[in-house]
Amino acid sequence: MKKRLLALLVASTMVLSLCACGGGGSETPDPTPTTSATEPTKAPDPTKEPDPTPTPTPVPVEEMKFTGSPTLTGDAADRLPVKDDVFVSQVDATGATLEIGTYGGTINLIGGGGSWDLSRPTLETIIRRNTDGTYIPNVIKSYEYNEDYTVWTFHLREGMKWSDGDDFNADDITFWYYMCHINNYDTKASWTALKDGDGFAKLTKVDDYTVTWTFTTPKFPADFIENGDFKWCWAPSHWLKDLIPASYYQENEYWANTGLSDEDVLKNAQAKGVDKATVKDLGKEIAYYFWNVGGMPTVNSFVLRAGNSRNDTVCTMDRNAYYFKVDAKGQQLPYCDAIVFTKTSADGQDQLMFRSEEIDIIEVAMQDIASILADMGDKAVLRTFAGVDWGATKVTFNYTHTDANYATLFNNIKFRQAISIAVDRTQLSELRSDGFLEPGQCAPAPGNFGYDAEWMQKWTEYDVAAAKKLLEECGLKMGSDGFYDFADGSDFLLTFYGYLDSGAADDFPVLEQYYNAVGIKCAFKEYEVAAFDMEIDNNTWTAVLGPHTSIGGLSMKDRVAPFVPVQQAAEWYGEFGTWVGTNGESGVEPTGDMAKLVEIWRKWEATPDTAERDAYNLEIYEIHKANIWTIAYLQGAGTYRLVNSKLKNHPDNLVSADLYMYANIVHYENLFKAQ
Amino acid sequence: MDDKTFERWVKFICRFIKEEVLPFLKSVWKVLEPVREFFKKDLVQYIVKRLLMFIPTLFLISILTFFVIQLPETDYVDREISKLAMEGEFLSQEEAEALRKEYGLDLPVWQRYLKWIGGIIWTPTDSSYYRLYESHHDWKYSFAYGKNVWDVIDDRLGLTILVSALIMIFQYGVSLPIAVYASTHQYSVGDYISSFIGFVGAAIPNFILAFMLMYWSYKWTGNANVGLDMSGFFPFLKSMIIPFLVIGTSGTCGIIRSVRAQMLDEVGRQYTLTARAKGVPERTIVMKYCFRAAMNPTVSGLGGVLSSLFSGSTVTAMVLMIDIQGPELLKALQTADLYLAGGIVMTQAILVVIGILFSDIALAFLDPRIRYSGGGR
Amino acid sequence: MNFFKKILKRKEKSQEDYYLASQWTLMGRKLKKHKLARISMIILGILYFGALFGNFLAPYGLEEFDGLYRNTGATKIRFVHEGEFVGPFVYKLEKTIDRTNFSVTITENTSEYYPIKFFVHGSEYKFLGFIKSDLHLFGAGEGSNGGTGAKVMLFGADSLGRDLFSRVLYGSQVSLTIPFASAIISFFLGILIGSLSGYFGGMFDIIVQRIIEVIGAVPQIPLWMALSTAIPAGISTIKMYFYMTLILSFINWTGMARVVRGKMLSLKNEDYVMAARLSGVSTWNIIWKHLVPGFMSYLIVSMTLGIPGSIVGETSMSYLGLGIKSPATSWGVLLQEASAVTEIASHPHKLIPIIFVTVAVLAFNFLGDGLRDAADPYK
Repeated sequence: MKKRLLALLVASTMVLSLCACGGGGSETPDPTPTTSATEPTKAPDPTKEPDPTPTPTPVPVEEMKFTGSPTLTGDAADRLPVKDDVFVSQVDATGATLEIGTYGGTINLIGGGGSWDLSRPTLETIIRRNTDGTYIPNVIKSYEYNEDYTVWTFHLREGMKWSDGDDFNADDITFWYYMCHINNYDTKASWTALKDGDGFAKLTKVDDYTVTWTFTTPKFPADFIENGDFKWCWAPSHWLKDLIPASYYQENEYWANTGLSDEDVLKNAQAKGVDKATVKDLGKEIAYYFWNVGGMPTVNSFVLRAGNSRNDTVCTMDRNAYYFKVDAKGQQLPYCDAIVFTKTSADGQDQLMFRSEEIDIIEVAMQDIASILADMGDKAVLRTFAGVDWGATKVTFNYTHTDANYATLFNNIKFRQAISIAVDRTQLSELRSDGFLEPGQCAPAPGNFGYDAEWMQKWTEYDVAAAKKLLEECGLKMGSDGFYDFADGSDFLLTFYGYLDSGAADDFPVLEQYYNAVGIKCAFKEYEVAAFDMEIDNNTWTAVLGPHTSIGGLSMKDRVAPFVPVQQAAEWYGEFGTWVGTNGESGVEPTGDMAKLVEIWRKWEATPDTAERDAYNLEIYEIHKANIWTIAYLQGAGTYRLVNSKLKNHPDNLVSADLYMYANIVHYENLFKAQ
Repeated sequence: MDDKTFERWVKFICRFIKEEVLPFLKSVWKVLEPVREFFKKDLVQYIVKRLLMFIPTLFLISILTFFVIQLPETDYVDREISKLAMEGEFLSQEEAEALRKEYGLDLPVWQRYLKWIGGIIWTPTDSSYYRLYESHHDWKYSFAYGKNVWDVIDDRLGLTILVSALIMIFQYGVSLPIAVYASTHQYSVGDYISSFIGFVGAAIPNFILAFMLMYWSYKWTGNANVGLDMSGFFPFLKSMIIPFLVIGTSGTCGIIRSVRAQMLDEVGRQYTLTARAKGVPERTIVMKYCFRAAMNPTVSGLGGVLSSLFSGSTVTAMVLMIDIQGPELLKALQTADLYLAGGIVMTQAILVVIGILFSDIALAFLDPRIRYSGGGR
Repeated sequence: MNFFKKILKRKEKSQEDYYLASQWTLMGRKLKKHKLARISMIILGILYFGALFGNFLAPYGLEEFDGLYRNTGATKIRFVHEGEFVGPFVYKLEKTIDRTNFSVTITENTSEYYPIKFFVHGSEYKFLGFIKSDLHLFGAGEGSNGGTGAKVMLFGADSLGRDLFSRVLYGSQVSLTIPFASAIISFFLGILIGSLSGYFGGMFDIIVQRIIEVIGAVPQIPLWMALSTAIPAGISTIKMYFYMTLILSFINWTGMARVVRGKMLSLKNEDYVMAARLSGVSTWNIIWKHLVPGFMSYLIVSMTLGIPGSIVGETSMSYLGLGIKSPATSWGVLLQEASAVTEIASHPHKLIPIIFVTVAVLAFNFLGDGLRDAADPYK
């Protein structure tokens, strides 16, 4: 446990510090072209147990003999980038040395059918992040930017190939940018990373393996290469050429109009096994969710088999025979032949299939770990992902409630304190998690940037009498029915909103008892998620219970909305955020501490300096600590994975966050099945 | 028994009805007067009458389903926005409105309905739909899949029909012997035990039975993957055991009861006594006379059995991950995927109606009184 | 039951009584022969008794959570404490959590025993909805050393530490009455619509026939879903109950209507109807006084047989998240909570409600069968 916390602390501080200057200096940030040199070298952790297998001594790239994965016959060198440009995978995401694996076998996973599910274990992105906060160029060989951050240059790997053997080069970047992205064919032209003021960056092909992005105003690394949306900038031009309709064409110097009508394009797509009813749906699928298109070439580690779909009960992704990474011995990755996704019914079938070894990796709740491990013995190992959530069982009130009585009450800090101390957190933890989740407040989790023990324990002392006293100080009057009313005599009913399957329905009856005990009458309304969101958007809610967009997360660069009220996104600032997001067109103007948050955020946004950003970040945290806009009763849970022990190289002590693309940080290409 | 076979089979049935049955009936009705005379005039009249009566039924069904699907206050776009937000993506208000317009969700419901039903009945040759898919029946498209509804339905229709048909055969195969035994041995221990077995399937809710069988299957065979195995005919049948037990037994109760009751009625009739007095063997009396008469209501209940199969299999299929239409329908309803939900309900309803039609025709053959009275259902 | 038996005994006295006996008496007599039906009646009697006095029989209230007892199996009832017979008692549980191994161990604390007491005071409830009381049939008393907090849970506890036995009783108040109430509503709807349709025929008949056909042909799930989305969110349990009843009867009335219509068709041309019509009896009276009583027994049979379907239907609705929602309880809610392989594997005691559902459904089925046999005039 301690070990993980340490790693997390390092990770999150480094995410905030190192990342921002990840590329290094301003002129030539990446002098050595070989990626192995840019990989972070980490001092061995003294607390770590000795590795069971002898550490392989890395072979210098120049001396490496490359061997290709067994899918295709022929010379391996033909399938890999030229010698110096090969990506050598030597350490996992936590910095631990990888075992040299053997080929064969399949990785059996649970399929969910969500649009991102197939990408998590396979997607290769522009940069690759590690849990220690560093990142290195991944699909691109290296990058650099000029002094004023206006020109960014991407260098590609020479000889790198798409999964069908076609060359991967600068044309695939220009094709993606001009034929798929800025014409909104991929429906994502709203990405901020490539926006330049109101327009778009200019992309120039310098040579076959070099492109530059030119901006008129400075584009800091945090807003460009580190931006969470900007994960890829390529598309297989040779495969997509006949799938771009004329109706989406935008004049550019690299690609001519295809002249194809919508119908032609749909027919061409049918011939390639992609059946879509409109070109819009087609564009979204082939230019954005491309990993979901069976048979479409990608540069990912595994590629969806032609004719398969994520909606199938069983679907298979095969090894990319032209994958650009090798292990320390020069063997081409990935080791496993395929990833097989099997859908299971939600209610525990996955655990059975894990026990029967039909599934290799499952996620489990803390309560279930012991029994499965007891059953499986040494056939399974536990792998933990630290969470970045600021607490569990959270409640938030509508600070922009249309009824002045409610708005005034909620904005009174004493009311929030009363609600917080009205609940016996130990009993709640017993009931909801068998006592595993520790009592706490809505605050950064231990080990995270900004963790503060005092903040975590603020207002957590269970005290009914004090809560009642606080409520009376808020101006509430005890009514004849034994529940508090507003000062003007009108009824005070605290209605919680929650959505289906969020667990809120199970939390409410427990919380209701405690609230009733301090004299608060409450009710619970459960909605289907969309209807729930509609209530929030329409500002027709009073309070929310259960998981909702709340304060906190891993880092402000990842997503800024959980920390400051600048969008219409989260419950804790409600209409205040709308006001800032729409430049005052609608919503409620923030005042006091809310306004202060916006002010600090504007300063945060304007600086590329990491230390400065950190300082602003802490200022924002201080304001949150003072206000506790969202109350959490328990500390957040991590994610626990059980992995079949036959599957090697699965790192431990990871962090589950959007920034790391969740499961993607495992790097499935390194996993192999022990014989 | 691969997907292709199902597909071919389903296409064959649809084509058969469209190209063979309908024109055949029309020609019988209009042109071949002598054949009509020859072909038992009243039977054909009866069939045509039933067919005509189904047209308003189908229309009513389409209206009911289409409007019922749109009762929830949130539409597909609202749900899409929530789904995207969960995956960390955002959709602006303008984009949402554009989507609504594109999906036709901004039109009043009745206009949407007319467009939808019109497209299903007939899509002209010069439409882009016809050029792309060479079909005159445009079922509109599924928002969630971005595909044509008919393609989505088609993916599962073969398996749905196969699974339903197999389960139906299983149900009748199990319940008819039990019913005959129970009725010939009324109030015996055997009667009680066999009825008990037949009823127990209906008494345990399908979903919990499916979970229990899944767990036991894991305990006994060490295999927790209870989905359908399409690798061959026998593996397929083997993987059908749990669906048989869960879905099949839930329907046996009704069949056992109605056949047993009918048999008891028949056994007490005058003609049975007469036959027995004349020395006809008991076995012949039961099987040849009583059982045949008792089959009448059973045959007429065919459509109902089919309908309850479609509903009953949904929850089970969700638990066991069987790729049939039920769970797909549920998902479509939950995501307000309007045309997909409508399409599935319509195809299921049409299948049920075809089932009823077949049972009516079979009944009319079995029992001439029905044809003469002009529809006794 | 006793009342029934007495009547039967008296009537058996002489052969003459047989010819004088009413249709209903004869039915009762024949029903007696159907052993399963008799047993079923007793079982149903017990179940409904349990539902009626549920609040008193249940030792704990619907919202008495207890983290200590979470997911534990049935409480062991013991008699001998430290080698000494002290009457029925239970031990309090003790829980230790090992965070490094993620394991929870639950043991009995044998240092102190808690005798089981009868007629104890517990959570407050309103018997039959208006008599306030806090008396419960039994419960664990104070510990031998004055400790508190021990509980006696005959069927074990659910995932919030609530007593499953109490919840089964509370659940029966919903699960046994919604289907019954909806059967009665569909009974009247069915008779009304079916008899009008059968008696008058014509256009009205055709329309009704089509509606029945449509409801029969449309898969039930969209109907359920659509109708339950029409239920406003966050309404009280009582209202939810009311809506559920309506939904089930809306779907179920068609079967009854079909039976009635068929009977009407065959009876309306009988001579006695003709006679009634000629002597100027109103249509309404012909239907209600002369026709419907003629096949009332059949209707009651089909009503009885409609109930078990609704009991199972309610559980399916709960599984799909469409019915009664926690903290309100029905058998469907209990089964939905147990419907996960992990629950079946680690907490099999949560499957106990299945026994109740199955027994109730079987009992209604056998009773219906018995009634059907009894109503058969040729026997």
